[in-house]
Amino acid sequence: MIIFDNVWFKYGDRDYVLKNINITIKEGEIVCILGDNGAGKTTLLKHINGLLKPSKGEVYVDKLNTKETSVSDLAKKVALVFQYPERMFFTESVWKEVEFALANFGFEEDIRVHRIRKVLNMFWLWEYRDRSPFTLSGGEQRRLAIAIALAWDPKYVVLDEPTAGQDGFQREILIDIIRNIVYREKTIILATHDIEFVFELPECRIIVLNKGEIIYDGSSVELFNNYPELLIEAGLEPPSLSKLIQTLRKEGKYVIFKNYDDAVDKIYNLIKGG
Amino acid sequence: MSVISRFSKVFLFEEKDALLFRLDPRIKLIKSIILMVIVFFIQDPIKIGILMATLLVEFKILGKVLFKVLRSILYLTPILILIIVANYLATYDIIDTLSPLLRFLLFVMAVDLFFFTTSPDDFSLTLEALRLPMTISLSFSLALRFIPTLSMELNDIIEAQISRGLQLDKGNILTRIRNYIPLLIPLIVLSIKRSIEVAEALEIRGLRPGVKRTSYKTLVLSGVDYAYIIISLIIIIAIYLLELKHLISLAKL
Amino acid sequence: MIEVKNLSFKYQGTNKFVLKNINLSIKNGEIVILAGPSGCGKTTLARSLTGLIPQFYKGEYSGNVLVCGYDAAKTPIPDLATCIGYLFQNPDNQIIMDTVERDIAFSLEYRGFTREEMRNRITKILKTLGIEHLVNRKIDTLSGGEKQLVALAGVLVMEPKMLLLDEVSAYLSPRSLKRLISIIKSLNKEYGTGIMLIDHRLDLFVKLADRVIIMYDGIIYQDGDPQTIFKNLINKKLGINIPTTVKIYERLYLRGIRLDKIPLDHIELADIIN
Repeated sequence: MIIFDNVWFKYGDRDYVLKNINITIKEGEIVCILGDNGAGKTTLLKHINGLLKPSKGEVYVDKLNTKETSVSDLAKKVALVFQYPERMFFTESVWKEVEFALANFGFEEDIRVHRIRKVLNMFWLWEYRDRSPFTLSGGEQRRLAIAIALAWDPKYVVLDEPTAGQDGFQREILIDIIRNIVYREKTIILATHDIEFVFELPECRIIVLNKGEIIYDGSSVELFNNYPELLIEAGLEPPSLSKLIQTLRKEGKYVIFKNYDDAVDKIYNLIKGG
Repeated sequence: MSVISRFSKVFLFEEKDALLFRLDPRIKLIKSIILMVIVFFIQDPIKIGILMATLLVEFKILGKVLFKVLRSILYLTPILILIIVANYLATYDIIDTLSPLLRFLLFVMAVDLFFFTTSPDDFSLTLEALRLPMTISLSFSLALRFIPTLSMELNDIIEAQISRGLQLDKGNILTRIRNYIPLLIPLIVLSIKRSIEVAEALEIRGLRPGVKRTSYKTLVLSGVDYAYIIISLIIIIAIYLLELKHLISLAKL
Repeated sequence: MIEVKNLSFKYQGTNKFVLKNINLSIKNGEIVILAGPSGCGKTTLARSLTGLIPQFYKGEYSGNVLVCGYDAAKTPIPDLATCIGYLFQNPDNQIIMDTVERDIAFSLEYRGFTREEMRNRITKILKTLGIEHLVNRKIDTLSGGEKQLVALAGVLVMEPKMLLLDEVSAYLSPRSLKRLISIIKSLNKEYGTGIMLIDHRLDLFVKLADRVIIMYDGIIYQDGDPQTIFKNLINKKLGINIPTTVKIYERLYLRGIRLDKIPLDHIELADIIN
């Protein structure tokens, strides 16, 4: 369980970038943090593995207070995958890149080999094991970053903007990975402003951040159907199906879309019926 | 991580709304050089002390950078101790120990006077005004322009590596040095990539070596600049000529 | 305006042609989206239009590229920049000087303008982009969105006839992107500036475009107006982010519904439903 208890944060003597954050994340949840650039998403994520410590309030990861625990101890439980994976690669092969993390966390040789095999296969990177990570495409680099994070088997996986700059193929692969691989085993916290991506992950619990404050914490269905104005307030564009709901309601057709497939069904019925 | 962020606090330029920042950088450079030279001509620790005091006041009131200057001196503590110990062991005299120490500090403050109050932009204009070749002044501007980006990237790299278990301060000296490899390689790779893109940008943005350039912005001296350098010179010369013995006997009267 | 004839290109030291016999003609004042998955050759094509290929990036080059009547392979790159302004994905690397005003001026300093002329042009462009307030700011104090606008000003101050934007959507927040889109529209309307958006986010820009060009594996795979393109692309997975409403159209199509028009956004879809 991860608990943000009344967390405030500021860099040096500047204004607060996080204000009065209270969140409890249970095991097995998937939490999507939405917000504009500068809303405090990344700052919030960095609190979970202790890279940043709250200026006021406390963050607990499995009852460990992050202020009293070292980043390396927290990192073992919480894998943080950054937006720019190319900013961490430094070895000559994909294999070694995964191994580096495992060695840091003190895993024995035989376990390392087993884990590396497992995650590289899981993410379709096995054939690249001897290639330099710098020669991979942007999408493959991102996949590698997630593979590295899963290798040491953390309990929580934190992803910062996992789909930024990715084309349609890569986006679908990433959605698939997050939903069908990571989410099966891990608790996920991810930050994004890719709203269509979140719409395709209806199991997400959504937290909307605006200028460092939480303005929404609840289900995705509720947000996209009933509170699109909160997204606009936070500087985001509601997903087009959410806008469609509003337009249809204005014209007297009350609809609720539970997810993407449900939307297709209901639109089908509306067109057939009308 | 904290070491680097503290370090960058001293060395990253920070604009303040204060007179020293608005002065023509050439004027500050002249004063800075005069101070650096005069260090070799004044021996008397009291005179240097007075000169330092005027500078500290200047940093505080005209520059709002006193804290930064003091911190930069703090970073030099090991060197300061070395100077004190070496000179004391050589002379066994407090005055003779004090003099080189204060002169060193004055030298540092003279450097700070220019660098802490001169924006990268003014710095490159100064280089242009000194009529250095365009390639040199442009390289300097680019280097200064990308220092903040580089320090931000380095921070990202450190955070990413710590997040996958790298412990920078673990192990003996050799391991610790090796711990920096995961930081340096990504930094170098990123810098090479950037340099290619910046080179592209220079082409696209119309840089033409050999073609005459009309600088959009040039330095122009104002009344304040003249006033500042004249007053500074008067103070420095007055302190230099000051006869302390006279003063002391005057005080006795 | 732009005439590309039988263009093929292979980067030095590689063994694969990134562009294969490209033929393309673009008229004055057109708004074109060039879409395609990562690695399809979009950026390489952009570099050929700006002269960076073959002058900066060497390789095997055949065919002919004419921009504003100049041969892009032989005309100095800075001269071509007055015909095509090129905005990079990462604005940070395109900004050369340390303050906004001096950076915009940089584009003009080698062109024999007087200071007065430079000042007029800079003032005008700052006003057009609505960033007069940034004029004296240092670059590292700007947000990502502001940097993008400053980089854009540095390009537009040369008054190019056409603007080439390379993957600008990748790292911009929705708010900054909205602003950029409205700027693009008004540039096109008021000054007749041609626009070429290179992006795989077709969903973001399709409402803007007169014409969509799809590249795939080094060739031009499709070229036409949005309706035709989407009709031809039905259920072909090309790694392009197509609008959600078009995806809905595809799903309805599979279930036997034939609509006369493909809805490009929620309003058009709502109209169809009613």
